[in-house]
Amino acid sequence: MESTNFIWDLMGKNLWSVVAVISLPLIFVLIYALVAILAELKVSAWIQERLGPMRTGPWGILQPIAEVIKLLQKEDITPTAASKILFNLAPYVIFTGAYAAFAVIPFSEAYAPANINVGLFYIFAVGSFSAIGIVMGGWASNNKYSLMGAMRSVSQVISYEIPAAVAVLAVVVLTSSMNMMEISRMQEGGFWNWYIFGGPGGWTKIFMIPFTLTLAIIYFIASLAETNRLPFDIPEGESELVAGFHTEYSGMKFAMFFFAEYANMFVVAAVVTTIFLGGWTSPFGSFLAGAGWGAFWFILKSMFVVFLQIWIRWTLPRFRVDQLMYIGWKVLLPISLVCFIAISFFSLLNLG
Amino acid sequence: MSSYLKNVWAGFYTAVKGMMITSRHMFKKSVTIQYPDEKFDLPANARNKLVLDMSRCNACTACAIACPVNCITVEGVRVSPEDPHQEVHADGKPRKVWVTRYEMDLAKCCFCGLCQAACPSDAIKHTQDFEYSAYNKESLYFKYQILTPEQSAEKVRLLAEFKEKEAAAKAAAAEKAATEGKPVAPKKAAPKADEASEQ
Amino acid sequence: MGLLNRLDDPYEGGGIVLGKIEELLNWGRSKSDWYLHFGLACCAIEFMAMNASHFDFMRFGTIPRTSPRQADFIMVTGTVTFKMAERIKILYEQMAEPKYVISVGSCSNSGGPYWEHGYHVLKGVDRIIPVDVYIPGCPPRPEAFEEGMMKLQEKINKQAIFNKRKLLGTE
Ligand code: SF4
Ligand code: SF4
Ligand code: SF4
Repeated sequence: MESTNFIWDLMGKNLWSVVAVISLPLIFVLIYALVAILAELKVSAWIQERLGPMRTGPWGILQPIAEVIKLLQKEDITPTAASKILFNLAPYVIFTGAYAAFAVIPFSEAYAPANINVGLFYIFAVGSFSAIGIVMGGWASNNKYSLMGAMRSVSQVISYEIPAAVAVLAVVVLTSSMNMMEISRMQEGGFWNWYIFGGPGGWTKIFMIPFTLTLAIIYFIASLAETNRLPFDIPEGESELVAGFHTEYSGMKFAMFFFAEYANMFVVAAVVTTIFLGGWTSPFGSFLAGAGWGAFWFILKSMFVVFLQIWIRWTLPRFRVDQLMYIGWKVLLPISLVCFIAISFFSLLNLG
Repeated sequence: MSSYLKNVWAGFYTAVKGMMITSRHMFKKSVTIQYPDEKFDLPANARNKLVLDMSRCNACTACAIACPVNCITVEGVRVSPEDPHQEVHADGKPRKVWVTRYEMDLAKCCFCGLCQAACPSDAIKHTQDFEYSAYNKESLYFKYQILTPEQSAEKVRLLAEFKEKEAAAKAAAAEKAATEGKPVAPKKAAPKADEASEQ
Repeated sequence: MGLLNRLDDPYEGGGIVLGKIEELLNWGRSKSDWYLHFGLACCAIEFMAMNASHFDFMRFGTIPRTSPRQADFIMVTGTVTFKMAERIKILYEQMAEPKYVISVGSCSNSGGPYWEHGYHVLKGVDRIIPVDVYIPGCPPRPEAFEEGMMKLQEKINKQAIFNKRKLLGTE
C-alpha cells in the first residue's frame, strides 16, 4: 500500500510520529471548533440581520476564546443523585466517538491518519459512539429531561443511520471500495467526476445523476439528524426538554459536549465531502491539485457543508417527534432504497 | 402515491425556498443599532428617569397624591416671613413653602407620567435618560431635597417661632379688642402650615 | 458576588503576572456571559425586543441557555410572584458558580406597582437571591438592558480571583 501519511514518510514509524499523527487532528478539531462556534454565532446573526458578537475583540472574533476561558472557570457540578462514574464519563465518550472518526478522514492525498480499507464502515461504527455517550449522560444525570432527551436522541440516531448507510452503500456499490482515500482518488479530474454528479464515467452516467444527487441530499439530511442539529434537535429541544441530555452538565464537561457536537458536524461534513464532493480533489482537474492544495480543497468543501448545516439550522424550525419519525422511516428510507436499487442496476449494466 | 410524492417535494421545496430567503437576508445590511456607540433617538415624550426641578417645586404634594404607586414622599414647611433666607421660584414668585423632604423611589416607579401631569408648576419631569442602572437598590432611591435635615429643623423652628409670635400678637390684639368690645378676627394661617408640615 | 468578592487591599503579594492572568480570566468571564432568562411579565416582552435585530443582545457575547447549569447570570424580568419566587430560588441554586443576577424592571427590583398592596408579589427579588445589577424602568428600554449588561461586565472585570482587590464603584 502506498504511503498516505506524510508524517510516516518524514519521521518514520516511532513513538513521536505516532503522537504527531494522533495530535494533528486534535489540534485541527480544536481550531476548527473555535472557528465553527464563531461562524455559528455570526451566521445566525447575519441571517437575522443582526451583527452577532461585536464587543469581544475586533468584530467579536475572540468570542470563542472568551467562551473557552469562561467555561474553564465554571464550577463543575455533579448532581448528588447522579450516577457519578457514568456522568463524568459521558462527555469524554461522546468526544472520543467524534474524535475517533477523524482517524480515517482523508484530509489530503498525503494525509489520512489511518488509511484503512473499511473506512466508511469504521466511521459508521464509531459514529454510534455518540449515541452511547448521550444515553450515558442522559441516564446518569438522573433528570427526567435528560433521560427523555437521551431516549429521543437514540431513537433518532438509529432511525436516521439507515438512510445514511443506504446512501453511503450506493456509493460503495459504484466504487466497490470502502476506503475513503480510494473513493477520493476515483473522483479526481474535475467536479464532473464527483459522485454527486454520478461519478467518473462516460455520458451514460447522466442517467445516474438524479439518483446520486438525491442520495447526497438524503445523506446530508440524515447526517443533520445524527449530529442532533436543527431541524432535528429534538434531543435538546429547548422548548420541551430544558436542554435535553446535557441539562445537568456545566463547565468543562458541557464544553466537551459542545466540542463533540462541532467535531461531529465536521465528521459528517467530511463524509459528505469525501463520498459526494470529491474529497481532496480539485474541482478543476489538475488545476491547483497536489497534496497541500488537497488539504485546502478538502477543508474548504467540508467547511462549506458545515456552513450549510448552520444555514439550515437558522432557517428551519424544529420538527415534532412524530414528524421526525415520519421523515426518517417513510420518506428518507424508501427514497434512498429506490435510489440505491437504481444505482445498483445501473452499475450492473455498467452504465456508470 | 402521487400525494405522497407531492408532499415530499413540497417539503423539500419549501425548505430550499426558506433557505433562499435566509440567504438573501444574510447579505442585507444589518439593522442593529450598536447601543453604546450609536443611540436610538427617543421620542420627545419618552418617559424615563424622573428629575425634580427644586426651584419650581412648592411641596404641594399633588404628585404624591397622583402617583398610583405611592413612591413619592413630599414634606414641606411654610416659609416664615422672618426667615433670613428667602427664595424666589423659577417663575419669579417668592417661595412660600420649603421642601424639607422630597424622596422618590425609582425602583418602584412605573413611569406612568401621572405625577408630571399633576404637577401644577412643572417641577417634576420625565427625562430621556434611562442609563442609570445600579449595583445597589439604594442608589435608585432619589432624594431631591436640597435642605439638609438641620436646615429643615431650622426652618421648622423658625416657623414655630413666627407662629408663636403671631399667636402672641393675636392674643394681645384679642385682649385689646375684648377691652374695646370688638369681635375677634379668626385665625387662619397657622392650621394650614401645620397641614403642610404633616404631609 | 459570592466568594469572589473580597474587599481587601489590591495586589498584596501577587504582582503583575497574576494580575494579567486575572485580567484575562475576568475578560473571559465578562465577555462570554450566557444567560438564563427568567421572563415573568411585561418586562419579558421588552426583553424580546432587546434580543431581536435592532438591539441585538448577542453583541455583548451573550447566548441564551435554557439550562441553569450552563448559565452565568439569571435575568429576572418581571413581576416575581410568591409562586415563582420558589422557582427562581431553585434555579438560582442550580446555577454553577460564578453566577450573577440582573434584576430588570420595577417589579423585580422592589415589587413595582405591587409593592404596597400586592398580596401575591415578592417585594423585590433581592429578598431571595443576591442581585448584582438593578435595571430601573417599567419596562426598561432595550438599551437600558444593555447598559445593565455593561455594568455587570464592569463589575466582573473588577472581581478578585488571586489577589484581594477592592471592588471599585460597587459599594
Ligand atoms: S411616573 Fe407614575 S409611578 Fe412614577 S413617580 Fe410619577 S406618578 Fe408615581
Ligand atoms: S406636584 Fe410638582 S410642585 Fe407639587 S410637590 Fe410634586 S413636584 Fe412639587
Ligand atoms: S416592572 Fe412594569 S413592565 Fe416590568 S413587569 Fe413590572 S409592571 Fe410589567
